Amino acid sequence: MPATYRGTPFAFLRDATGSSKMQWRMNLGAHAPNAMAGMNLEPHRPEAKRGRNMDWVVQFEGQMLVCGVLAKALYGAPDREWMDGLVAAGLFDSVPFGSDLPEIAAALDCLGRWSNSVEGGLGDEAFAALTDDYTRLFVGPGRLLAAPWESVYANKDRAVFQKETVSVRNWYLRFELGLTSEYNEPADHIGLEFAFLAELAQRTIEASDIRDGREVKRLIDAQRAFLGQHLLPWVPRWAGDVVEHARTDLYRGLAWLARGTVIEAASFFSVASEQPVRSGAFQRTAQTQH
Amino acid sequence: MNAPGMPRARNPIELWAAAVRQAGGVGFGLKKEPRARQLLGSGGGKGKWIAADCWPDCGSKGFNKAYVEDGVVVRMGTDDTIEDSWNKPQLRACARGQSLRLWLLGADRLKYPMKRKHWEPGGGKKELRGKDEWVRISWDEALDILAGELKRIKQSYGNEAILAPWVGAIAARALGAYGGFTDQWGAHSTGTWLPAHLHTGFGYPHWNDRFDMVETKLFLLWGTNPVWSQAGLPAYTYMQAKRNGARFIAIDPFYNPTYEMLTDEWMPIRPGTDHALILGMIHTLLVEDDPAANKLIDWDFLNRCTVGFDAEHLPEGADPRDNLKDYVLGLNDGQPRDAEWAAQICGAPPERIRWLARLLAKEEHAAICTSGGVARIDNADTLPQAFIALTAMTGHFGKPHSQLGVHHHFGTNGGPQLVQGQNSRSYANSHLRAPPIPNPVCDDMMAGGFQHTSRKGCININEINTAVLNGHYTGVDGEKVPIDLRMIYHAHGSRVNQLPNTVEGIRAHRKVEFVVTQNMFMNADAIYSDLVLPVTSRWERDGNVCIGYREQLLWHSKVMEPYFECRDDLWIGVELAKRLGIDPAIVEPWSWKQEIFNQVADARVMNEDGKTFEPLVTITKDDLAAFDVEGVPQQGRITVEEFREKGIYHIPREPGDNHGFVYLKEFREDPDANPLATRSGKLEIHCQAIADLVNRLGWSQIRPIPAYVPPMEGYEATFSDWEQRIKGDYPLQVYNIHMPRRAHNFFDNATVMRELFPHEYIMNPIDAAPRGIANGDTVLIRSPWGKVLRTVWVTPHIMPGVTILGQGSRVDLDEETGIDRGGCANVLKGSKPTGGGHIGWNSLIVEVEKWTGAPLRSDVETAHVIPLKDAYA
Repeated sequence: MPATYRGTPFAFLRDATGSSKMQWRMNLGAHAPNAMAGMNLEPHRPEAKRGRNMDWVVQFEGQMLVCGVLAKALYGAPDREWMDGLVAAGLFDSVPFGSDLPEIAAALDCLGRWSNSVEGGLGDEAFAALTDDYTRLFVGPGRLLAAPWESVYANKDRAVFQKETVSVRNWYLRFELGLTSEYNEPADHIGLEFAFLAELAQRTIEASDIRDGREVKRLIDAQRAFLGQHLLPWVPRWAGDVVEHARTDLYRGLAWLARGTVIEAASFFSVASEQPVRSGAFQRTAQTQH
Repeated sequence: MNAPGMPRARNPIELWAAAVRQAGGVGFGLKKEPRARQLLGSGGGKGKWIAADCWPDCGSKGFNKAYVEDGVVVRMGTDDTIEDSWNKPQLRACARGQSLRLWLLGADRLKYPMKRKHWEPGGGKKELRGKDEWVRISWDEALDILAGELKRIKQSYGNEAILAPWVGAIAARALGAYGGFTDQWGAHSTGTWLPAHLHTGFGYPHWNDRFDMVETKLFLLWGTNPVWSQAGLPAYTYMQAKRNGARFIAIDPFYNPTYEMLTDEWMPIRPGTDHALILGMIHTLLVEDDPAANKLIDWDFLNRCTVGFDAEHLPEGADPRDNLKDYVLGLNDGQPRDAEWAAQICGAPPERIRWLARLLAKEEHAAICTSGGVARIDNADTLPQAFIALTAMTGHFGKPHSQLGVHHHFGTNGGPQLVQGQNSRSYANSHLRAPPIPNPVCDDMMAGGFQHTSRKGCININEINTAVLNGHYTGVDGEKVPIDLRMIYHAHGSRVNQLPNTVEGIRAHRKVEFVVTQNMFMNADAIYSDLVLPVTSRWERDGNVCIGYREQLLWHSKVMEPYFECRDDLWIGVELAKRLGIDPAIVEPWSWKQEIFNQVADARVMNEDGKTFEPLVTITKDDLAAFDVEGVPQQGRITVEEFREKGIYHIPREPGDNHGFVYLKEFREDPDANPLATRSGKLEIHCQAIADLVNRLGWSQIRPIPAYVPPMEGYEATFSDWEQRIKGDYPLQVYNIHMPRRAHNFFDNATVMRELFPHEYIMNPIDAAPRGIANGDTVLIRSPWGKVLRTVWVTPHIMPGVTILGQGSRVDLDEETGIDRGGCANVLKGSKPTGGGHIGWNSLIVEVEKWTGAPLRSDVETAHVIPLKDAYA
């Protein structure tokens, strides 16, 4: 496995079924990420509880991949070729991690419905519907139906370029990441936050591949903190607005998926939340939609 | 199509991994940042205060500062550069200024160039404007579309076909250089005061110095509300006068917060009836005056300094019957305009009218302080002459502690400017040392400048939309001028929303071949456009220099980086120039940074002698190097750095200094040696120039003296039979005041302002009860021109028969029913001009009924973002 992440960024993805993959899974050496945070991950101490590690890693990797897809799907207008590929591949038949959340079921329901509706290929009309929907929800002009920036939901002033934005930007900088955008836009876009989470997850996997326990711990801590400080406080509400206002099953489904993924990840990392993650009302919405 | 390399029916991990791979990796939108360490350490958690402009045109001026931490505007501050005192007050910000941060960082600002989905060259389903989907596009595509349409329309129809109504001098630079465009003329704000200032001798600025004013003993606050409309120092001067024992009388349909703060008595009168009240007062004084036993009239001033009051003092060639005294006494037509006559119209009891006249006449130091609002009335062309006559006959011109003051734009503080710089609200020429770019279509007036009076190539503001729809407008001599407008370019203001007959405006915008709007927000102009260009606010540019009131000079700096993809008006002009084959150096002769530094260098302040000026700032060679600009070192009062850092300079003032000012003092003392800029050299109560101007335009005919003309849609028009006093279909009056939530259309979309200040329809319980309307109900307001829904505030603060719908709220038209849910006052107002082509916003008639449909949602719910829903948490 690559020791330098930047040189071959997605080697492990290309190697998803390879034996070295299995190797790092067995070497990860922790029961669960929460416990792992406090453990000394010495590379020379492969532990015995392989079954549980396997589950954990599969779950972790699955969440990372979903975050990566959400990043691409939510940051930027619909990419026709990419989406066509998703439909052709039957991506939305399932999610790559285990979950009994009603959100995930609702997501699969919406996404499956959308996939079926475009089964023969993403036609001009269907693609225009996606672009229009994305524009209305997240681009404008004017009042947005579901502004895709954290500070609009998490900050009491509900504006953009707030302290949340700087905090998120600084999170990226601490991991030597910046925005690809050529103009001044807030770092706390929903898609970018998912991209960051996916990046950290990928780095965790790579760090464990080279048995860098200190780095794994740092990355796991970062993911837990970023989820708790940033994604968890706002994505559920944001997803609610998208579900309410989206015209297409794709964006409705992606919103359910975003919400479900954040909640699942929070539970996975045992993120302490000051507020209940969900109210019953919305969960019921998810169930009835499902 | 099938994406290569993404085979079906693999396990989910493989599928999703492939999807991520196809997306280019997990970190879509992020990249490696080599400067991460420096960037992370750059903020250091330490913020700084930056002087931040507030330019929305309320007519007042506060000083705002923004505290910026790590590039984030954390909070707002105001003037703390001097110790606050009565003599030298801080220039404090108002609630609107304090909301700039959240307004400019609202999620609803325009972020990217957008085009209407079904737009195509020549229009493309024009009827969909306002309903169509939008498509985000690049700046290149947007500018290509704009330049393409400009070229096509110019080649096919000529420059006249391009309508760019008051787009501002910066945005107009490229358009002017491209051969010009059709512009507008006419006063939005000042009503009929504008021609009066130009032609009667009662000029501008005309307020006395504030140190003089605070010694005034009696104030008639007449149709004015600076606490709401021009918050800041204007009311502060009044507070000092009140502290000194002055008596305040309010004359207004609405007992507003300014009156709550200051006044001893409220005399309610109906909108548009000020003229009748004044005539009743003049009549009272004429019949009660006795130079020996009961001196009420300053005949000496009238005889020496005015023309038109009586038959003995008329301008040369005037009809002897055209004098105010004979008209008021009814000598020619048998109808005296006495207090009883006036009371029938204005609603104040005759005895109160006589009381007010005597009070004003007997007080040695009295001031009438009024506003543009009283003159934003149909047919009110000679109302200013009536005010002038009343002030003159009661002896209150040219005397200490006495005056007629109109508009609170300069903080109830008059006299020559003690500081010289741009007025930040004026959108004046952008490169002050360069000659202005002329507009060839409009007789080479400055492209994008404000045009007061009728002029070739300019359409009256009332007729902009009808000119588009009907193909003609009223020319300089009242003639019908054909015009074929094919394109509308908006770059300043809010024409659809803020000009009369918004529904007609929407129709006009759906008729032309192309509409473009460059703005910060999705205002009504932008909604009905094909192309929307996001522009930076002044916080995102290299600053600006401007005057505050009379005594403050301000230098605002750049506060933040441009919001999303927003670009400056000037940059847009340069990019357009490149595409139109114009030398960009004409549009931008030098950089904005250089321009601002030039303005700093050119800023002048008055010396203690009260006559001469000196530069404000000292500039050294090091300064020029530090600011990276060209210039010449100079000696001034303070360093460049001090001015930049503080952002404000106050002229030192104290009572008795050389900056005192009493308007018309020299004229009063010796009118022959100090003639006014009028045909007669005197104050003109008989003003032929105004009569000529109005009668030439031909919308209505007037006499040269202030004879009362009932407004087209005033109180009289609420009756189907005025003689029998039988009410008609629209029995209530409505007028549109300035609300605290906003300055015209500005600020209205800010959630914080919506939470703080409601936008309610205001009516009296006496009118509400018989209609079954209770406080808080949703009501339907119908005028001859349109229908609006609003929540009602039922209150005795408004006189019976009169209602209020504040101006500036954005239209939200339900096209099925034709009902506006946004509370836009201009949906109710027709666009037929009267007189000199001002806008008669405050003369309007309506009927109101309780709305039986779904109640209106609160304005907070329809603010710039969707309200948070707990159910989604």
